[in-house]
Amino acid sequence: MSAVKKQFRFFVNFEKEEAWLNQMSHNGWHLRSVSLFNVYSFEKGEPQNRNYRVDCRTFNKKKDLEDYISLFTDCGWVSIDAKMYQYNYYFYTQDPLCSQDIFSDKASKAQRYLRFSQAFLFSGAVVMLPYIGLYGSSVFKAYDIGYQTPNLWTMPKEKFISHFLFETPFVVFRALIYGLPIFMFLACTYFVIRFYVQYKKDIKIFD
Amino acid sequence: MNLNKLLPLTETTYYILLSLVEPRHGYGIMQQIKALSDGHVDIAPGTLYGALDNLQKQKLIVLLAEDKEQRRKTYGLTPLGSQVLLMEYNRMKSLVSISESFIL
Repeated sequence: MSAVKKQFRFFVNFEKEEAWLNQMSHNGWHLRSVSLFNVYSFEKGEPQNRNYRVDCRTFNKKKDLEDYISLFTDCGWVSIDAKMYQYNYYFYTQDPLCSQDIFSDKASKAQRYLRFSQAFLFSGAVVMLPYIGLYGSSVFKAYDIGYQTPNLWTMPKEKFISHFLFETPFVVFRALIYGLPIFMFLACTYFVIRFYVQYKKDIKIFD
Repeated sequence: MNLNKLLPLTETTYYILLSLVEPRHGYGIMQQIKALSDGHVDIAPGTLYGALDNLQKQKLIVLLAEDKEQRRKTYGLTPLGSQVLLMEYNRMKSLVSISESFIL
């Protein structure tokens, strides 16, 4: 059983991610899988010069994914642990006859960022839709987050401090739970815009 | 639909349609294009996959019978695809014939 290393990384640039994976293989750590939350698993082996490439895709059917993967393996690319709904698909090659990139024109290379942007738009919507329902209905009320002790603000000083300190962790906890989806929504929106801008930039440069 | 909107085709698109005069699967298309262009045009898998997806949406190519055992899908031209290929061929041919007296 060879050594396994797990590492969390988040890349906003595919080229940098590919360069990092190449470097890891160069040091003898070969990519085995990437989890949905960006934990990369590596297996220790002999150092190798691998040419890694990442593509962002979504598939509706298992059949579509299989067809996609076989197109790459037919031309000498090795696919790493491809599953449905993982957005990013990882390939590497050591075959000198294989083309150096999985894209042969600049427009299709730039479109990878457009798909990544759309993936964040989709996940942002999936995260937010149930919460919009909860916020919109009366289940979540903003004033429920605050201090619930009756007459807290008019209490004598010593009594106020002890009640205030006692309840503060609960208030913070409620604020986090209620605020988390909003934070996630803002993060998703940021990445949607960021990757869309990157796509526009790459398309323009290469025109 | 105004087919002229689809013209001119990119070199990649033209080669894909040309290679699909006979039904082929993805890798078959890549090999055929490489052979037709004497190795000058080498379409990478990520680019080809996106192009095939697009051409299907534009209804220029269609998925032919899927073999249950086979993982590879086979594609062919639709009547619309054949028509667009012919229109592009005629467009380029007329450009060439117009140019001949000036260039040669």
